[in-house]
Amino acid sequence: MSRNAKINGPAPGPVEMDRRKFLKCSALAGGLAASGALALHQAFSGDAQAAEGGAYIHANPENQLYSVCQQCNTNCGIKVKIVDGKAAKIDGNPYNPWTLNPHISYKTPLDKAATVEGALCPKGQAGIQTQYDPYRIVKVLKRAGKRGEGKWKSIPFDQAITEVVEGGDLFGEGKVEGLKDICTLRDPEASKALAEDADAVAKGKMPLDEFKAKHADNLKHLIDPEHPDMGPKNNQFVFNWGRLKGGRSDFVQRFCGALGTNNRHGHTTVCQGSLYFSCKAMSDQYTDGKWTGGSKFYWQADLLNSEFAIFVGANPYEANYGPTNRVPMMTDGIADGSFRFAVIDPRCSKTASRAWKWLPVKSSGVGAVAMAMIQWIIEHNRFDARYLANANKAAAKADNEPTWTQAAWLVKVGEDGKPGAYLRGSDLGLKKEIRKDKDDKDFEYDAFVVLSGGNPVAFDPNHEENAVEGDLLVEAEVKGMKVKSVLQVYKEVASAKTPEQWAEIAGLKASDIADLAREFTSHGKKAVADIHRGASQHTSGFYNVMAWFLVNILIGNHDHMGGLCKATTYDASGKKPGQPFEVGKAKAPKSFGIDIIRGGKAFDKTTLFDKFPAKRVWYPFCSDVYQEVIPSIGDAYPYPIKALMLYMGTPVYSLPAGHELISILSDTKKLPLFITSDIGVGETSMYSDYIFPDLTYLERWEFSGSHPSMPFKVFPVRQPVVEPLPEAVTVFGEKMPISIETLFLGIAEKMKLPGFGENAFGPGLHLKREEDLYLRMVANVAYGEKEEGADKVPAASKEELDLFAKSRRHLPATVFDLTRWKAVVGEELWPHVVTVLGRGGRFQDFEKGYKDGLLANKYGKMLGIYLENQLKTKNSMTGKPYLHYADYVPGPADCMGKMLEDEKQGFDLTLLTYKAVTQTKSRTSGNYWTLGPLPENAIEINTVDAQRLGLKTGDLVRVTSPSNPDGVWQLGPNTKKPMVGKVKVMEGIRPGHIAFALGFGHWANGSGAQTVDGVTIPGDKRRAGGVHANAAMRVDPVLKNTGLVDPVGGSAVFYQSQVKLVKI
Amino acid sequence: MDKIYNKLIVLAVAGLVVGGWGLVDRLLHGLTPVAFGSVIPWGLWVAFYLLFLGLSAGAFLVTILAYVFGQKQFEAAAPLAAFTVLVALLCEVQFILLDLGTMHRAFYRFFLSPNPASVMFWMMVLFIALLALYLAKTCLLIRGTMVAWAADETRCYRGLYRFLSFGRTVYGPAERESDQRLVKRLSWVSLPVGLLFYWANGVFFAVVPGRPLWNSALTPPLFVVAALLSGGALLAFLMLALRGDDEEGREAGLGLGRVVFHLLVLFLILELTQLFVASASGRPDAAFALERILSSGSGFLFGFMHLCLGGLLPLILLRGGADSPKAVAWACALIVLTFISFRFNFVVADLAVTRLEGLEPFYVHARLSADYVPNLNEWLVSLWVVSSGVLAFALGTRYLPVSGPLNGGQSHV
Amino acid sequence: MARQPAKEDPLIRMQKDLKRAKEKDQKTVRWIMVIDQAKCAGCHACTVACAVENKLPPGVIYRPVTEHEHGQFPNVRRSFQPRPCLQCDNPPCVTVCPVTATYKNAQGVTVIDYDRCIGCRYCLAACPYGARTSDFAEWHAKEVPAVKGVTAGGEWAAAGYEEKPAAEYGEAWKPRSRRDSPVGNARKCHFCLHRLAVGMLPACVTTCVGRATYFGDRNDPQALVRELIGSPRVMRLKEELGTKPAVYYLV
Ligand SMILES: Nc1nc2c(c(=O)[nH]1)N[C@H]1C(S)=C(S)[C@@H](COP(=O)(O)OP(=O)(O)OC[C@H]3O[C@@H](n4cnc5c(=O)[nH]c(N)nc54)[C@H](O)[C@@H]3O)O[C@H]1N2
Ligand SMILES: Nc1nc2c(c(=O)[nH]1)N[C@H]1C(S)=C(S)[C@@H](COP(=O)(O)OP(=O)(O)OC[C@H]3O[C@@H](n4cnc5c(=O)[nH]c(N)nc54)[C@H](O)[C@@H]3O)O[C@H]1N2
Ligand code: SF4
Ligand code: SF4
Ligand code: SF4
Ligand code: SF4
Ligand code: SF4
Ligand SMILES: [Mo]
Repeated sequence: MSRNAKINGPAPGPVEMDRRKFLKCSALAGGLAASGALALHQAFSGDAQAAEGGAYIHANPENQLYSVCQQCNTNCGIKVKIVDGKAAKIDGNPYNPWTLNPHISYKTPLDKAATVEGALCPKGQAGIQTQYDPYRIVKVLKRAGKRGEGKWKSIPFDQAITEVVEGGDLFGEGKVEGLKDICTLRDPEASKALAEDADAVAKGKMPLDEFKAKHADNLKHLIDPEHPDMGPKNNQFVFNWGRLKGGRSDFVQRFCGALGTNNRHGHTTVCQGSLYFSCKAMSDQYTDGKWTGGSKFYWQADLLNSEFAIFVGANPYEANYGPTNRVPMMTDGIADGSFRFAVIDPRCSKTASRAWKWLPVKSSGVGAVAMAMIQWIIEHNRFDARYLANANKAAAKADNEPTWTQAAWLVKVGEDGKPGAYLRGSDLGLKKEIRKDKDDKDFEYDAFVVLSGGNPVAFDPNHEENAVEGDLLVEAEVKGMKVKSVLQVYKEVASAKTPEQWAEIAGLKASDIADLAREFTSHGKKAVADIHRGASQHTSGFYNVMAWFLVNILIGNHDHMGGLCKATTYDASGKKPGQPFEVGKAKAPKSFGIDIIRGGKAFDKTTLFDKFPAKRVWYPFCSDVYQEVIPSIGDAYPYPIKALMLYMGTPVYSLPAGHELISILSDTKKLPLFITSDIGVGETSMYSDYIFPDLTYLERWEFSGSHPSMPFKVFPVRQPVVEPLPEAVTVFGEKMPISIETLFLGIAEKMKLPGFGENAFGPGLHLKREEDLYLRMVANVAYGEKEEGADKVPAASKEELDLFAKSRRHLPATVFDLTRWKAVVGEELWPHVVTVLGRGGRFQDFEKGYKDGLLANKYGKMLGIYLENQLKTKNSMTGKPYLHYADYVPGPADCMGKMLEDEKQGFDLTLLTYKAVTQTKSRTSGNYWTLGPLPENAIEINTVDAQRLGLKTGDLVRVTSPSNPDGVWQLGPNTKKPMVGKVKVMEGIRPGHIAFALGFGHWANGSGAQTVDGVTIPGDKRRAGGVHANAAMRVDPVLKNTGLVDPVGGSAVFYQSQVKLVKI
Repeated sequence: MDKIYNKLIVLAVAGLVVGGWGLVDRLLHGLTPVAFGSVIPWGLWVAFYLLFLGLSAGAFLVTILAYVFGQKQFEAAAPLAAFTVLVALLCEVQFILLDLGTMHRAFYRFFLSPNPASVMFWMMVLFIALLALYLAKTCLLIRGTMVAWAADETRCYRGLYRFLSFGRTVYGPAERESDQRLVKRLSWVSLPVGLLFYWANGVFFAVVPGRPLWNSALTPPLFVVAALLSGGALLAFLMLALRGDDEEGREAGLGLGRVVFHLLVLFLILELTQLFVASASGRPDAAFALERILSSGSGFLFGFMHLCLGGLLPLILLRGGADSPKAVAWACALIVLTFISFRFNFVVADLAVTRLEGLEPFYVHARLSADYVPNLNEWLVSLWVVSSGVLAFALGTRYLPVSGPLNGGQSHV
Repeated sequence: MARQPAKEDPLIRMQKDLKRAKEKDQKTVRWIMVIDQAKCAGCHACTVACAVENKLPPGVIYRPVTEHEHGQFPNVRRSFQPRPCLQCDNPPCVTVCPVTATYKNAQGVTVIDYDRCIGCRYCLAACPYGARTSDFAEWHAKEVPAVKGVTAGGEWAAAGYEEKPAAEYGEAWKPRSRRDSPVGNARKCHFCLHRLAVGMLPACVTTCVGRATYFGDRNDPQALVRELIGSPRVMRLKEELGTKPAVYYLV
């Protein structure tokens, strides 16, 4: 008898049998012969399935709620399975295109979808450990010692609100100004007048004395009447956020608007700033006589249809919006050989490790690879000439191209041979036209010019009918002026070096780059270069990004299936005609003035301008310059700050050289009041005066929007799915758990801020609870963007309406109350809202996402590749105009543009960082399940370097750098944490470079002890594994308290610090 | 002699008290307190189980020599031997029960849902058989004295003795003859049962696929020899220690010593052959296991403790001092004391072999680590079990006539 | 080869396969899993999904993913290999179990009867793939202290997931404690029988980010897995041991 037969003997039991019964029987039967047992059990095989599936209640739609993950910023759709009111398991929402390709039809009834689920990454899977993290706080904490000392007392919410608003001697350290003292300018009329005239003063259109005389009564509200363009004192309240999404961002804007502060700054530049701000510049259109209207966004690949992709400093297998969403789009093509990809990354990421080609570029060489590609493509005539020749919208339309570029446009060449401004109609002697702008004001229109068949042709870039195409490679003289086409400019820029020279800079083989360019240009529009942090977070980030987008533009892949894609969402603001609730509007004082990060302003166009260089960098093309907020507070430049409120961000941990922030945050003189919203005591909130507990992503509302990796029009809805942990409090007479919204509402109530409370949205439309805003936004989305509700979502069926209430039966009244919810949007819209909430959002069906080889949701505009705004604006540090086209810009450089020489000082290794698939920054260190695969990170180093340094896997090393020679995190006057990690020797990293994964080396967030109400809760060792080497990142030698920056695109620089490893 | 017993008893009681702390921890917290895990699922306790398994075999050897092969000189040692088997079995079963994740089920599961295909099932059957056989043998061997003692008005615990006489009140040569015959018959039965038991313990390991050292046909014979060797050594030592003064005991001890010598030679040949074959196979997993055995900590166990103290030195002593009770006693003591190192290495090294390359570093937890060092709890529990054995042995040798003429230890009576 | 627009997610296709399998005579169903290493992203989503689905305590893991670096700079690749229980057709783990607590069911899944297992861990030693782990009654977060009413502490973790039993084998287990099964028992991947029973794919399959894990009935000629095991890239782990795994790898 085979072993198999024997083992089947004693106790077989097919899935569907009632095993329990069988076991009992076989137990009774004792030594019953095998065959007998078999017969016996077969007798029971009748009442099958029930038993095996019996206790499994996850598949019941009554136990499921759809929402959106936020374990990382990919924001995948989730289906949360609830048992006894608690989240028991999280899976992918099959309606949501993040988790299935194609996602299921929006029409699918909920009960049919109950057993269907899409994929999630490990962090998404582990979410319930974030929800039930033992280190979460549920009450307001107020510091009971010095900042950062780790001593807290819990205080009632109302007391906290009173203290924050009223100020006083809050900590026994002297008087602290409360919000009511800071935000004094509350009159909408007065502020509007001040704003307009302050702007006039800055523009030199109004003398300062006149201003002072006119506004004598209100000068007391200004930070400095000598510099009215700094704005009102209200600006001395700063609201800073890390991760913030729709809905909550509307709340933030409403709150900050009501407080009249212009200082509302996000974290964009720590993330992929230059990617956003290059694309913002590239998307500027020529409207009303100026270059304007660019949006803060970027493009990514439509990977589901690409045949070839190049990932430049992007790691979709581990991060990057993200594994869940992008990997299946790739593997789908890998399986049948219809897709392959290359990766340009000094590190062999998981993505690179499965790539057709891994090009282990030198850190500062990404731009050089782009230039080499551009050169090869132009030299080999592999660009899409038909596409590039289109000079305006009409020409593009004629070719069925949604976008067009300036490739054929002519620019004037200066005396020095450098390309300058565009050649204009007026240069040819054409008269400028007088046209009406959108506000019906007159402006002068001056045409642009191409050479067509050798003849100059003037054209309007936006013209819908007059199609103009131009010659592409032009070097000519027109009316005695030397001119070149933009493509010609690029041809020359890219030919400044030989392919071998470019390859040398990049640290690659010229032949490899040529292969890459050939492959890239062999798939029509179904090839794409997908760019992310590894390209943008450099001192030359803006130009790296631009150069790589130019590579894409050469094949004209924007809006094409398999090419570049932008994110598209349903409008929730209610601005579209017919939409039920316009929620964006609110009465408020006008916010104005230079902000603390000096975003969107040119230094020399302000009253602060004296001479170049400025004290700190100004960012005329950027907003949300994260790394500027706290250091500028430290330098009180351009003005001192009195209070900072930080929401869901941890700049100390997340910024390069974030350790420099600690001394500023700890200094009550520099920052008198520091309030944070956090779910625990984090690496930054540990320095605050008050920590307000927040709701986790499973407890709260938020509209996560979309990412450019997503071709479909979507509106994912995050909504409360589990009972919240934080304490319930009363605001505006309503009971609700503490959250950031509760904090806003509490302050608004106390300060009687406009736009909150009774009739906030108009008569009878209050804002007393978070869902007063959120449900209305959902209603707008449910209604759709077409008039008469032509694209309204279908109303929920009776079953789904019932299910809606049943599946929320576990939610307390502080969160969910059916009658109240219904009342917010009204009986009529309610069933439509239920459809959207029931499915975790609104999602365009898969088939609707594509049409005729094109993406349905298009960018559909001109792509700027030659930027006049840059040319006309002066860099605050150098006083020179910004470079206005893509080029290779060497680095690392300081903010003055001076190259750093640390390598020559013996700092022989370039420090890199990346995201491991199991961790998100400081947010997932308490996800014990994901710590299994990677409990700690390592200092990853190539075998060659390891041998040279005598290191082997497991050795401990300290990371030191020119700006942190001791290699420590100085956490307070007496506490430091050595920056020590374990070495991991590997082949998959370029020699001369070392890397560490983000998300480890914590000292707060449950990894360090905190004393609350006199009780010390020790830290958990498991959460403290590994090393966080951001403090080794180079401090800018000019700025002194900030890491290196890209002064154009705003990026904080992560990949260009030279370090040493010291063996311990 | 009394002093030794008293000391032993004090020691055992102390061991029980100290070890009891570990035992309580184990009983209250299940297997949470132990250091072994899922990669090394068996640790110190299984090694101890195997050690006691071996010790029982010595006694088995003696009774077999005496009653099956008619080596009269061993008859004197027979009661002690049979009793030792009982004590060893008692310790074995404790170790195994304590090692189980759900101990209580062991008492009925083996009977309710046995798996005849599992070697472990047969081990249990053989174990019970052996226990029964030796219980019977012990009783029969001491019945004469029991009867006498039960009748002796000066003794305490006469009830016990009466019970152990199993109904007999007179014990003449006829009774003696019949009991001896029974013992002989039981010995004949226990020969295959015992051999099968030790063999089965080897097969237990040998059938596990993909384990480079275990998975060898040499394992079962190695186990039999190892068992006889360690057990024989124990018995020899005990005979010489407890009855070195009387001729009979000394002869039995020295005789056993000679057998032990041959067993040791055979054992070393088998063991080294197994290691050599594994190493010569060139299999990476075998290389890993060997490296594991020879690496620092275990290397000390293997090289110094096992090979030198437990192999070479006893060989020399047994050869050179074959007639010296002291030398033989020392040699045997060394063998017994160092035998745990062989057992430990045998169990742990093969378990540490990675099942799949790369498995260990990619899900990290202490329970999934191949680095196993027994922790305090495991030592304490072991102490408890060993102490319970020592106590049983001391009490048995003191109150029961198992160690020959000095029987009962109640010399003062 | 030109790229075709996606038609059907493999997950949807396999769920249809599953439905078909459930409608036929159950004795003719043989569940198998196919793992395409060319598609595996090494993301560990399956590892964690399985742990959450089965509420695995620390140290118990059903489906780790191993990782190997091949080659030398700059020609480097990494491969990832997930390892569930291979549900061997000829499983050494079953043979050794003294109390028949582990056995093959009719669809070829090696199951463990938690009520029977005595926790001897012989099967752990016997499985050549390290697919079994034992439950040593550990906690992730339950024991973290709290300042009552101010920090969450382990209480929520306990109520939220740690004490909440998983419905393994479709049974309603007692809330997890030190005393009751599966504590003390051998544990391992069971192909998510409890999910199959309600028409759902195993958790590691539905969450497979790379769509590298396939599941279905080997005896169904229409099943996706049937197509895949005909691939020239197919292999099984340690075939030489004769264990006949029901998990196939495409390399
Ligand atoms: N070394 C290294 N550093 C990096 C990166 C890297 O790759 N390597 N990447 C960078 C990137 S891309 C980014 S986007 C930044 C992100 O950096 P940040 O925007 O600063 O944000 P997070 O790290 O997401 O931290 C959010 C903080 O909010 C708190 N928190 C968590 N959940 C909640 C919640 O639900 N509500 C509230 N109110 N608070 C919460 C936690 O304390 C957490 O520390 O980090 C950057 N830093
Ligand atoms: N697991 C996980 N996923 C996440 C997040 C997370 O925290 N964890 N965060 C989300 C967020 S906020 C973001 S912004 C995205 C980020 O997504 P990505 O930008 O794709 O990811 P990163 O790991 O930050 O960096 C990308 C790659 O750049 C490489 N790189 C480093 N230096 C250089 C260089 O000098 N040149 C080049 N060419 N490459 C370089 C790194 O090795 C890394 O592989 O991920 C999102 N997804
Ligand atoms: S990629 Fe993972 S962590 Fe990020 S949102 Fe998606 S499931 Fe959540
Ligand atoms: S992989 Fe291991 S546990 Fe699974 S069936 Fe095979 S031998 Fe048994
Ligand atoms: S641990 Fe349980 S399943 Fe494994 S062999 Fe022992 S009794 Fe059987
Ligand atoms: S089939 Fe189920 S139990 Fe097995 S590894 Fe996958 S998720 Fe875990
Ligand atoms: S989830 Fe899929 S892609 Fe990720 S590691 Fe597991 S098998 Fe590989
Ligand atoms: Mo980011």
